[in-house]
Amino acid sequence: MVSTPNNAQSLNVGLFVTCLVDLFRPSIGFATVKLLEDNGCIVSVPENQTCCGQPAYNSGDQKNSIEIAKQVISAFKGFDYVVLPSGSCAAMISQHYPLLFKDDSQWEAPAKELATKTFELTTFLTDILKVETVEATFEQQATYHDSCSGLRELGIKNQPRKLLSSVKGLELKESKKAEECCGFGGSFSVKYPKISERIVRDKIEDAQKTETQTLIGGDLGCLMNMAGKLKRENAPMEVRHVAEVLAGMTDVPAIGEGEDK
Amino acid sequence: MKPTSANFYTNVDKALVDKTLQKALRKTAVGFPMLRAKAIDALPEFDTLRDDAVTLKNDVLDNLDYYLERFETKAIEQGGQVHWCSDTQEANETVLKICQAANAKTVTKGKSMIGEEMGVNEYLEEHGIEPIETDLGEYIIQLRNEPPSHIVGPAIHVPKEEVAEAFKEAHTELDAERSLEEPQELLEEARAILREKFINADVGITGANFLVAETGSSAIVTNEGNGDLTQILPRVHIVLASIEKVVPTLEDASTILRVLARSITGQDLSVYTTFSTGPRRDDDIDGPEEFHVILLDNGRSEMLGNEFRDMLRCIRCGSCLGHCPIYTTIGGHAYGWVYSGPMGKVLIPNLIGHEQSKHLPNACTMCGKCEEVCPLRIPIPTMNRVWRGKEHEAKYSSRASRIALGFWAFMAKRPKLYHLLAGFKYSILGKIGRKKGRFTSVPFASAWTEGRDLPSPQGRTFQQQWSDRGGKR
Amino acid sequence: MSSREIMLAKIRNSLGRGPLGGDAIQAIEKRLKNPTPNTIPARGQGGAKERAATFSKMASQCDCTVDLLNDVSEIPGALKTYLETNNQPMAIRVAPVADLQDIPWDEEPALVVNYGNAEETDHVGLISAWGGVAESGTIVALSGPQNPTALNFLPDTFVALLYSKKIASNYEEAWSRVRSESNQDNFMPRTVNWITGPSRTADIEQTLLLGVHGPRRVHILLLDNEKS
Repeated sequence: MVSTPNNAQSLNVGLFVTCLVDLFRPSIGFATVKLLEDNGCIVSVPENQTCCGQPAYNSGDQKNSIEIAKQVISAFKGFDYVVLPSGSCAAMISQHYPLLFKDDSQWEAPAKELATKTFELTTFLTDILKVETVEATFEQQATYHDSCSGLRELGIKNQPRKLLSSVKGLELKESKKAEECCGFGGSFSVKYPKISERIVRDKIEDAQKTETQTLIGGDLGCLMNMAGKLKRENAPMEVRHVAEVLAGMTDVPAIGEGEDK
Repeated sequence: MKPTSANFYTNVDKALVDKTLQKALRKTAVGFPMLRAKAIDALPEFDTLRDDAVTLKNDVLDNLDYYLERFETKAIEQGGQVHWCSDTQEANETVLKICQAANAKTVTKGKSMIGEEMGVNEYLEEHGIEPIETDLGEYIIQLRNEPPSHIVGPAIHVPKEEVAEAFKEAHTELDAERSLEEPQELLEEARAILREKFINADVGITGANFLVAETGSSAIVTNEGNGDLTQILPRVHIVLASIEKVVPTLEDASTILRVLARSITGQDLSVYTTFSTGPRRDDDIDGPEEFHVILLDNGRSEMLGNEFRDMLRCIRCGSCLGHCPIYTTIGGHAYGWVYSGPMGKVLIPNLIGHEQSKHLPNACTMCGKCEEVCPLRIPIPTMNRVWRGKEHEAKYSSRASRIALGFWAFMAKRPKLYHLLAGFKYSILGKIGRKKGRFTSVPFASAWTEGRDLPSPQGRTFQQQWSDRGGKR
Repeated sequence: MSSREIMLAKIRNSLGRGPLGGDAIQAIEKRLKNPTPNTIPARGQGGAKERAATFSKMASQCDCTVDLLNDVSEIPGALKTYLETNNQPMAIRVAPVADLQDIPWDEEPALVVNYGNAEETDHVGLISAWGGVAESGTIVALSGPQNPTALNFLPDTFVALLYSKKIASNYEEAWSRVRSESNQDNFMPRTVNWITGPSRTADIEQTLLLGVHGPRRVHILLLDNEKS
């Protein structure tokens, strides 16, 4: 149920759950809903959403990118804000959709409108809802990975750290290469798996040097890549999405961990 | 050189198992970014200078025809000669003619990426003239007969033992038993050998970091001083420059100089910055008697009018290379031509053709680091995406990947069908994988699972669960 | 059509215009004839004393050594000491320029002074620098009848006499001075050298080594003779 707005806000927020979260890790979606509702938002999840179109866009498939973008724009009409638990997909909508419809008299304006009201989750919480603290406990030492799109296209750096610093029991330790790419890059990881594997190998080595137990990040693609490599190397480090930690929903197995362990 | 960009996969395989290369790349990945970061911390105006540099280069590109003609006028006024060359063939022929007119037997060369692009060394050799690279790194790779693996450090991939090997093979007049174990010993030998070459050369060829329209000057930066010895001592100085190298004024050159070395070696300036204007004056004590500037187009005038125009702002600092996760994993040679790294991915398809270099723009995670560190703020990822679009249109990409993309897009555009199928498929995958939490091998995803596990889906999709709960959590 | 015409035509075609017209040309010519600086860093700015201090600091940071002197008469002694300390021969090749010829070399008979351009066998060269740039500790040398360029590059040891009053804050100030001293339309000498430290390379295994082709060491005699 919708929780009572605690600070007179009752913003209508459309959740774009993102395809990876939808398919692989719904718990991130539920954590996102919880965080938004706890902070007074009314959350809806339009059924007509699939993917933001980034795979087509980054493969140079302009035609399908445009068609998918139109579908997203239509599906998310009428919300005060659109929120995604991913910097990469948020950047696709807020930075690239307007470019897709440049000089399109019918679609440019709605694309821009959607762009201005679309936010990545932690940024939305800190910058729009002015959330200072969350009610959550996570008795761990952890390190944070800055996903490339969020970091460089949206300037996401302090927002998740600020919120994580209010999680009880959690201690964040910075890794040297926090801002370096993990080698995922969407289709890159399957087109050039050997290069991708080498990059993620370096990345997890660096993360493990922090001697923390958990690696936290805001984009499931990167997290699956790093978790997949950690598990292949039988490393004990666990990987979680920032939404789950902030929502206190860390009872589900970490990414790539089984129920059996 | 003959490009091998089409063999990208094979090149990468080779690079990944080359232990000495991997060791060198590790150093590069740490070294250059650290030096840059330190230099930028010490100059609060760095980002403003970048903006200035972008503005002035954009002005140059908007008025390129005028600035080039203006440069030419000033260079000629001071006794220089300017040669306009549409392509590398014409540029090579022009260089050869100048060398032949000077009865040249040997030619010393400062580092020039345009010279690499032209393959001027091979061309001169074919016509009986001996070109000698004098930048230590370039000299090493010339002896090894290979292209540069980095714009600024052409031989960073060569360990000192292999440098020693190349020297022993080439310098047969020296004692075969001499010690060449330490970098300092290698340096001393190169210094002595090349000193003779400088003094005896008939023609000196350098590149140009800038051509200055205001004064008709060319400018180069080096750390070794080889570019200077190359252009002071021989009778003839030839400058190889591509057309986008022109800047309006000495002030503009100064602005770019402030961001150039800082972006790669972290120096405020390279050790030697040299502005050359015309041949020696009547009462000068030294300097060349002839001063020639080759203005090479080689596809750039077309780039000026297409999506790759911003690439013409590039000042060849090399910063994007050491910051790129791909370059620092595979090194420069894998790109298969004289340029490499992020700037190479955009430039190479423009210069040698897209079809044979179609892999390069794809070999990018779109992490955006290159654009972040580029002193000229060149939107390299955006241009990579443009190449991918052209690849998609031209159907250069593999049939399998186009089918996969097409199927995915078909589904993504049909939310109901998508959710139905996804719900079904991922529930099953979840059931299979949930206990272990991951797959170690997956049909159709073997590329992924070769080097890492694939985390399994949790089970039912978010959309399924959300609708089951009636739109509540 | 010549390649020149073809290239210009292609450029204009890409720019979607013909040759520039009167107004546009005037605007560019104005920019070229009255060059204005872009952003100038704060570092290096200040009075003569501050400029000299910044210059010394920056030059030292890029592996130059700097000797602060108050009078021309101190030069022979200072130079002899420097050469002794660095195990260098006492023979120096000196640029044939008046202010170097006026130095009282006789006061140090051990020094063997020869004027002229550098020869292959010269180990030590001395020039009188045209100027310096404080922001990066850069020595500026202009070629000319008394200033051979090879002297900056051939000897193992490069020594530059620099009057502290000739230190500009930044490159732009130096260019202004080059323009005003020449007072001609074509004001550039054949060669302008900016020298910021000794010759170096990191081409072998990214190990920094000094003295690959040019001088192995750079020594600056910084003369503050405002008082004299």
